[in-house]
Amino acid sequence: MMNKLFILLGIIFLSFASCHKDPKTNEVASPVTDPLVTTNEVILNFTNVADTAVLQIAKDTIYTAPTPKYINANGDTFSVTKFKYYVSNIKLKRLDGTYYTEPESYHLLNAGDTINYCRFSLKKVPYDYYVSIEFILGVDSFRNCDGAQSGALDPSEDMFWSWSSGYIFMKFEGYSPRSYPSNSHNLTFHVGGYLTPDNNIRTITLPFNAPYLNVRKENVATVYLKTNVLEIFRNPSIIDFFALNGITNPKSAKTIVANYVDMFSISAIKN
Amino acid sequence: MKYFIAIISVVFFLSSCSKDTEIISNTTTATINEYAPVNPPGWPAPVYNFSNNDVTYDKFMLGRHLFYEPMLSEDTTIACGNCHQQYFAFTNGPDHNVSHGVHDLLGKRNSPALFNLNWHTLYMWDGAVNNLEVQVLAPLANPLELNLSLSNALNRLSKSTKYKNLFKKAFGDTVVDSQRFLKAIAQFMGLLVSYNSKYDKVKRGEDNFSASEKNGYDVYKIQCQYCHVEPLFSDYSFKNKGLPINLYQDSGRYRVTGNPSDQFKFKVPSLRNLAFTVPYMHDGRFVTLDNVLTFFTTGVANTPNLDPFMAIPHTVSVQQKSDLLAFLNTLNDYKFVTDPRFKEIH
Repeated sequence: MMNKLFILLGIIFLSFASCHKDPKTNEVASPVTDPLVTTNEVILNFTNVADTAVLQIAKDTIYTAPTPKYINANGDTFSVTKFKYYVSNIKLKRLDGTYYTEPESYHLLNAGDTINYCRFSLKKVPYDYYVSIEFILGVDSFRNCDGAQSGALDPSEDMFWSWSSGYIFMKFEGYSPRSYPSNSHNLTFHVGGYLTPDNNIRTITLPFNAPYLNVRKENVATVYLKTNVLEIFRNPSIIDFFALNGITNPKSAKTIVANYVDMFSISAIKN
Repeated sequence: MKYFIAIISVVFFLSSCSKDTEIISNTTTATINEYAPVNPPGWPAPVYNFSNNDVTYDKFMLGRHLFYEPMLSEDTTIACGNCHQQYFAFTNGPDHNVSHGVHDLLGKRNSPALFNLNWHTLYMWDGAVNNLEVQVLAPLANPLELNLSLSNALNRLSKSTKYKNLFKKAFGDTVVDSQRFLKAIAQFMGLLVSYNSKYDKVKRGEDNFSASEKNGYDVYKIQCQYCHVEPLFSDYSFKNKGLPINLYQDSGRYRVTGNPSDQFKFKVPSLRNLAFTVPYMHDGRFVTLDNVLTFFTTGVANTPNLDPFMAIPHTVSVQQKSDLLAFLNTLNDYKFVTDPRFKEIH
């Protein structure tokens, strides 16, 4: 009898003793098994910009700093050598207030990627009108502590901190003549952090204008989004690259996090 | 008998939801038992429970090869197993107070012992690592340790015929990716369970304490149990036990959290296998257990965040000290440090 009890307990422990799952990330996707529900693809197309200019990623060379191309709100010139960020847990809100939730929703966008650009599709979105898109800028807390991941979350993507486990939500690197940390002109902004009090996970909500996103049989719709790097360094705090040219831990990321939550916007929807 | 049934049940459970049933069924019953996760009766439920990492003999063996693979360091000179040697309960050995990395670089901390890792909530002296599966990324990337990027490591392995074969055996094809790599090493580390010390045998009714060991057990309960909780002999919390601040000004857990209340806190190490894990403390500053007990009774420094329990004076008589040492010696697991499953392999 004791033996049986022990076995049962062992099995129960094995099934439940894991990192707590964030209930928000655990929502069941739309009932695609229902034969009455029919679906189509929706393409999300992110264009990385510096206000009106399309962002260009400069070649990172050891010997010479790339020519500065952009000017931040403080008047500091700079160039960008790396700009990568996670968009995860994507949800589309229907007119009736319910949501479509993308299953296994983790996307790593890399402004320097000249193969896929920053374009991917949501595979099976049910026919409907959608009034807004929601996503996490970064990675939810559950996946930050869930061991070895694959796909967009593969640690060999160089977006995982090994000195203190957790994903880097956004990696911005570049040069500015105004920046002068340890004998270089580097800019190094690595934002991450999923633990209180330095939880930097932010949910972004972007409403669509009427006539909204219309997913239907006839056409694959595309949502065009913009990611504006200049927003990282202005509003509410104007960043002076002489004073702040690098963050590489969750605690010191607060100013940048408060700034970068409004770097996304919807530029157009093609239904 | 109880273990046997427990182990079988665990294996049965794992295999029932496993995608790799074929691999398991190809292995003999004896092998399955020997390489199944261990959860000794009476111990708390492990934190890392292999729920997404079904243990098989071939995956474990891949992990074992990787653990002893010097190709996983920048200059191909050292492996995990250099700073974590089996006979020293997977520490660096008595002559290294801090770890030695590539190019003879010295680390800042004593290599922690590797056993009963599944029961830790966080890894490393400062809790920098949050899951056993990603633990290896830290020493791999550290310039003072292995100093090799994950993509370079995977690249080297994918060019090696030996590893192509080992990955194929373990996963069905020769693809080397980070998830397979990390999960295989986690299987090796997760099976390093030490539960066959004299203390364990006494608890199982297979042995008896001597009078001195019994007295020492009582001294332990008063003086040590507050942090070094049975049966793992640690609560794996982070505490400042009052060590004078070292030359490196190592602030411990503060490095990770940035919270002033974590300054000078380090993870409470287990008291198991102390005979093998000389020297002691996060920086290996004490070379004998006698030094350690002298520190606890007369050397505690009032540094920031000193644990309240350590602020109380701790006194033990000469007799109590000798009894305590006798008890601590019952926590050494000779079977573990000589277990052929964990031996160096190439």
